[in-house]
Amino acid sequence: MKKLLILSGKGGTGKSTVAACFMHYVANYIAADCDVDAANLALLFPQQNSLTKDFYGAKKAEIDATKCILCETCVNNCRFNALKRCGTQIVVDEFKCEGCGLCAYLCPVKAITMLDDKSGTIKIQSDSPLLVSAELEIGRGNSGKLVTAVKNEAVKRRKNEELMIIDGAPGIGCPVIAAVNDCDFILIVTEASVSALNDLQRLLQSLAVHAIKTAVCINKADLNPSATAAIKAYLKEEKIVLLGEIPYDEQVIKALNKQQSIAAYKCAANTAIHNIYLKVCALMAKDK
Amino acid sequence: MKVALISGKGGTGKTFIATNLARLFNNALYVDADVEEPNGSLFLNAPLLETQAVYKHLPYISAKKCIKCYRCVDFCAFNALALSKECILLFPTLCHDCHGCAAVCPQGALSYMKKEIGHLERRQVKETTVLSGVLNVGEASGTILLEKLNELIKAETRPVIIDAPPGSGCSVMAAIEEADICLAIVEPTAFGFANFKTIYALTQALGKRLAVVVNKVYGEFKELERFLQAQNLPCLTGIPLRKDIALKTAKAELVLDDASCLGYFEEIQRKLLRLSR
Repeated sequence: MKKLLILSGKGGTGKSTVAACFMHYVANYIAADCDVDAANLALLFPQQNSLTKDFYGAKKAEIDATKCILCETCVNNCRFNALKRCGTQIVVDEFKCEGCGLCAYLCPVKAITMLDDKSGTIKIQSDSPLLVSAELEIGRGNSGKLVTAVKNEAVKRRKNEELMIIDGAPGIGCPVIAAVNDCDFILIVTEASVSALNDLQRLLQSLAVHAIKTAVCINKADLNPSATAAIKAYLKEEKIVLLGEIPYDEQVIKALNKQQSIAAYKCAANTAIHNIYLKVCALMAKDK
Repeated sequence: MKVALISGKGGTGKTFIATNLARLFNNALYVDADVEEPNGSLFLNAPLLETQAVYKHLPYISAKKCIKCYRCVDFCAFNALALSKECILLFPTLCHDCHGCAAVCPQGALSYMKKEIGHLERRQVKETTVLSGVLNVGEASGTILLEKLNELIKAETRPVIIDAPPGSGCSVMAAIEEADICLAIVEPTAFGFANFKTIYALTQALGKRLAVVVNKVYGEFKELERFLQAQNLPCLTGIPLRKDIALKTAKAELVLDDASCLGYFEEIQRKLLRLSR
């Protein structure tokens, strides 16, 4: 099975729009929404059968007040400022605690226990197509681990599908790094803006160490021809394949607001995305 | 007044609104807290006045002292240390800088090296100070950069406009820590609304005040209106989906010179000031 990851650098350039179209074009695939901070793909693919699984990504410190002698060793050694003395109690800030366990180790009276903490929910839509997504628990920061769990869950449930479509997160940080791991092909959806080019450059630099085949498409390319020209010049210089340009198309917003993919519409954006899809298939087939 | 612009979904217009709003104030501090993809200084462009490197600590294991008891490997909650036959391997991007490995080492074999993970940049655009956090490419987490920015925000007496990253995870929490008002920039689409509900829950959990600006208004989106009413959330203004605004923003230009745009930002500013009183 080939794993196709869709990334963008900048947010809101159209990753999920492109991913949803691809999901309409292909017959036999599985999908994973790895933008766990803001998962949206499932909105376009509502299904009858879905199940959820709790995800425990880290631990949180809990203090037994009856044992605590208020020595404040934990407070003074926590690198995350997650412990504070409030009157005659030490209080753990559940949002700041990263679960390292140093406080529990250092506590001279063993008053601290590290407890499993639910940091997200994995949602499995098991009708065909299989779509695995996740929701990060409010205030929890283990998005990288959750991304890995989402991908693993999808792979585990694969039957004979030959393609996995992965919708990634914006940025270049841990959820992106976790999504990139063991992918076969990365399609970057950028847009014709100065900001998007800046973010694209940072994303491509961060991907350079992975040696994964990468190609780019430009969304809303006609909106700002000078930015499109700058992106093309940059890609040429870096020898990165440009797969196509998607025109600005109001049909995209109209379709999204009906919670539909534009793959169901006859419009310029759909035609462009379909052409990009065909080129992605050709490039992936060439590989090995 | 310290206001943080958040969105859940990316690309809803945080930087567009934050940069224009910052210029509208006489003497604001604009803070780019989207350290993975900082773009504010493209809009608020001026020569770099100052940079300050930001470091994290990485454990360094002395091969001479290490007795390969692997207590550090067992202790590390982030799987940043792994054992091989010859030595203990470190995966730098996984390290959370907790200093636990040094604490459990019976030989005192661990010390710490400083590693630059990014830097802060300061610029001055007329009376607006522009402070950007820039994470080095390849680093997994910008939380330490955000802590540095928060120290500076805390001491600030001018109005502060914080441009937060998208999402709802740890970097967003760190970016809004010093804010007294969160301003959600919401796109009136199914995606925008779904992600807005997540950051609404986040601001509730953290006890932050929340106001809303609806951006790229295109027709009606009743669900959002109903939600704002039901939760009693102030909507400061709605900015229409206009190709001319999109084009200027795509060129990283401000829109305040256009009288039809200026009004939206004046309305946001006026209502923010009233809310913060």
